[in-house]
Amino acid sequence: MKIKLKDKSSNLPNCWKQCGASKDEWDKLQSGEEIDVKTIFIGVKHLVENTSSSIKKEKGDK
Amino acid sequence: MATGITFSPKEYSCWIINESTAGTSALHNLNMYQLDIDSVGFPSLNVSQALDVKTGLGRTFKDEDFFQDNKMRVVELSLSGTLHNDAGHLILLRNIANDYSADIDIATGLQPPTIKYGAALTTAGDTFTIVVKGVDPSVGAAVNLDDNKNYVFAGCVCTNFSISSDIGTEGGRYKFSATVQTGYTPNLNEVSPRNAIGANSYANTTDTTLASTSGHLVYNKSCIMNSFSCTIDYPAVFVGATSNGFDVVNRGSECAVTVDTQIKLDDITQQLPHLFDTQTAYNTTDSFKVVNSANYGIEIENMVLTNVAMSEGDIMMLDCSLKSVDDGAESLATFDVA
Repeated sequence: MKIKLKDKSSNLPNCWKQCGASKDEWDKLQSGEEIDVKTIFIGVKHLVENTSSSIKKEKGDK
Repeated sequence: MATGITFSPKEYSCWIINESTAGTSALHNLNMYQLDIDSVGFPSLNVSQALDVKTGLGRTFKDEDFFQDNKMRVVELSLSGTLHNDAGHLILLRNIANDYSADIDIATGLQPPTIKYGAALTTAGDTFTIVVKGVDPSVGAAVNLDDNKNYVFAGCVCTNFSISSDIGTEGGRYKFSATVQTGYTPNLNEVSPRNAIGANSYANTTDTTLASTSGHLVYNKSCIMNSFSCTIDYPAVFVGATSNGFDVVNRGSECAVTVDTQIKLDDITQQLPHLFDTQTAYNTTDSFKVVNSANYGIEIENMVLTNVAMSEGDIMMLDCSLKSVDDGAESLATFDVA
């Protein structure tokens, strides 16, 4: 699934392994880019938004 | 005649390198790593002395009765400072865990390596050399020390290693303390120039803080953590005699992993005092967890509570102590460093 930071000024904890991402991808996420993760670890649930699910919602709206 | 030459305690530094032959010091101008320690404490040399009055005229200690042995003794150094995720600081943790690749596991059924001083090691790093590096400002960087000495401790093993963090100390910056022992005779009269011992200083980008962690769990309870200390204790045993000290290094009967942590008392953690009081078996999932990818994250699945107590502060906290249990399948502890 794809995620991105809700607020670009917030700092991410070091939990890229738990999300199934690499350090490089994590750095991209921190810089505001959207990245792919396997899971959203509980430690970052409040900091990121699942952009995959929002896309699905848009398709369902049609 | 006494001289005016003086040295600041802060001019000494501590350097470390893996050995490939146990007890053979491996001083190197490029491959040594500096440990970020608060200060260089002098080691316990533990020489054996005979100072008792024996027989003879008078109530005095006779010159012929003095004896000193500096071979069959264990030299011990205590190191403490800021923890970095670099090759130098990892030497200590990898040595006590006997794990030399990727993330560090204290393996189930842990066995110590075979170490004989003077023999090649199965794995480089089963022993290491520590140098307390002196300086001599009166000579050039490439010139042998003249007014000071380096202290070289070869054949070292790490017998106690503790990782700790407290949000009230340097913003929760991870700290370490280590006890290092060697049964090999140290060289306290070494004069290598300062540029012959180096050259990898620690950096201020390789440390970590509690603020970069998440997913704190104690006894499988999600918690708000103020501080923690995770300690590995694995005593060394030195046996046999050689002209350079002991012959063989092995380990005591237990490698113990313990945790002390202070967490907030709340609706979730309030169960812990009762669970401690009534536990009849170990907890099997997420007994202690501090997620910190590649920055000394700690994960321990199986533990027993050894103490839980309320701690009065501005708000009520809980002090919890736990000990890791080997269930025959999972590691006693895993340190996320890679």
